[in-house]
Amino acid sequence: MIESKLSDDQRILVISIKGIFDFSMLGEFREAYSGDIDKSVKVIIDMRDTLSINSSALGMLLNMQRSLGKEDGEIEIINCNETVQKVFNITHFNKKFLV
Amino acid sequence: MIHERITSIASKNKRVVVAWFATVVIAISSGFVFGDIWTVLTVLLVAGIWAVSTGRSNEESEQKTVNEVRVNAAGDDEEKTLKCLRYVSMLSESELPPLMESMDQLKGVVSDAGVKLHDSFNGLTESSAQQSDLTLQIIERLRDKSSDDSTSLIFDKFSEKTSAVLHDYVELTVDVSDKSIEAASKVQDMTEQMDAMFSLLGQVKYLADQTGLLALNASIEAARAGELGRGFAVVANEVRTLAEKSAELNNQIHENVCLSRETLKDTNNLVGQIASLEMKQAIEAKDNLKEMISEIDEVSVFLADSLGVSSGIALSIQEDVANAVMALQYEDMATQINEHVKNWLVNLGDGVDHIRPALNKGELGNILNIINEALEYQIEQKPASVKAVASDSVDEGDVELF
Repeated sequence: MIESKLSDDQRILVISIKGIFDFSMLGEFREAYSGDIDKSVKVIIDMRDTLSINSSALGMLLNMQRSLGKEDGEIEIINCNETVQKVFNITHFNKKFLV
Repeated sequence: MIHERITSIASKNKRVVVAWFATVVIAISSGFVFGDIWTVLTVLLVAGIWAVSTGRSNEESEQKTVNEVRVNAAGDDEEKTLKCLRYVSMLSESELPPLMESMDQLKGVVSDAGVKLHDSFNGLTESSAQQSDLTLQIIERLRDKSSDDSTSLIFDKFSEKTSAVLHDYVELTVDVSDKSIEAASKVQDMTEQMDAMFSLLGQVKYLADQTGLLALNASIEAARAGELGRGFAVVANEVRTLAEKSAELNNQIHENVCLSRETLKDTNNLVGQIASLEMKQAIEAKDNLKEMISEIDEVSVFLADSLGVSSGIALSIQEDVANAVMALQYEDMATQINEHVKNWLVNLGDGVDHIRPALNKGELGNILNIINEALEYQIEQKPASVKAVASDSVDEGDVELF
């Protein structure tokens, strides 16, 4: 399940991913950052409740980055568990995102 | 010490000859063992002097050179001295040849051992050189030729390449997922557009239905108008037919779009499967690879070090062998000492042969003169003998071949 929350000043968008972040979440995830969101908004992915991810999550994150026109390191990923951290390390996602 | 021993047993005439001969043998063997001809010479001289002095104890000039002289009746002593010298003659005749033979055997044994040791050391040098070559070949074989660093082994390259392969694999996985998700997103967008199309088709159907109803109303109105409305009734009928066809077409479009939607759903699932690769294997592979590379690195370093040490050891063996071969010159020394001792034995034998005629005639004075001459000659020759065994060391630096 995905929850997205835009801060009151419309400047920070926090997307929380709960459970297993895989292909089944594609629609929900795209919805979380679509709509009339300002391109300059600061995006934070909160993985506090993310149990695991597979490669489709990586694709979704890259698509989001491209879709929002963000540079490497602009989107922040926080609170990831050890396994998720390992995936980000071996895929060098820690260079594309602020993990 | 030997001198004291001789002096202490000198009083017992029966044992004189045995003692004299034993002394000669001890002196020669100790001289051979210690390489010191002085010992031989000293003992022989003392023994000779002692033997003469016991026979001629009545002569004052000889008394001066001997510490302990016993004065006995001259005739008795002369008889005993002659007897003693005859024993010496007999013993020298019977014992000297086997002794010389033993010296020859000793020479042969030492020489054989020397030759075998030489061969053995040469073999060792050869084996060591082969081992050294082999080590160099192993190093050459394992060396990474594409690297500038001459100590770099092919394992390093292997580790690098394996890492690169895994890296490429991960990159590929990410890239495939990225593109698949993009495709899936487009499929989802298309599904949404199709849903919009359904809504439009619904509206088209509504229009067709309304047109149908309108045509029906028009037909009713045309019937009321009677003959005048007959033409209009035909038109209304045509319109109703068109509306029905339109509705039918709409249904067909709806069905086809439904099929497309199903197809899109399948496509979406397929693309989803392509996008969804488990990352667990990649993580494990990475961990395993890390471990493996670290082990390979350790082995590589150990191998490089060991091979270096091994070639060092081979060189050290060659040096040691060279030193050992140098030290084998003891064989030459032993042979020469042997020769020297043998010469002494020959001289001794000759000396005894020389006095034998006089001994047989019982001319003690003559015998003593011959012995004295022989001893004087030996004393004059002394420096040469000393020089002959100047070296008792086989050290590389001060080997002095004679």
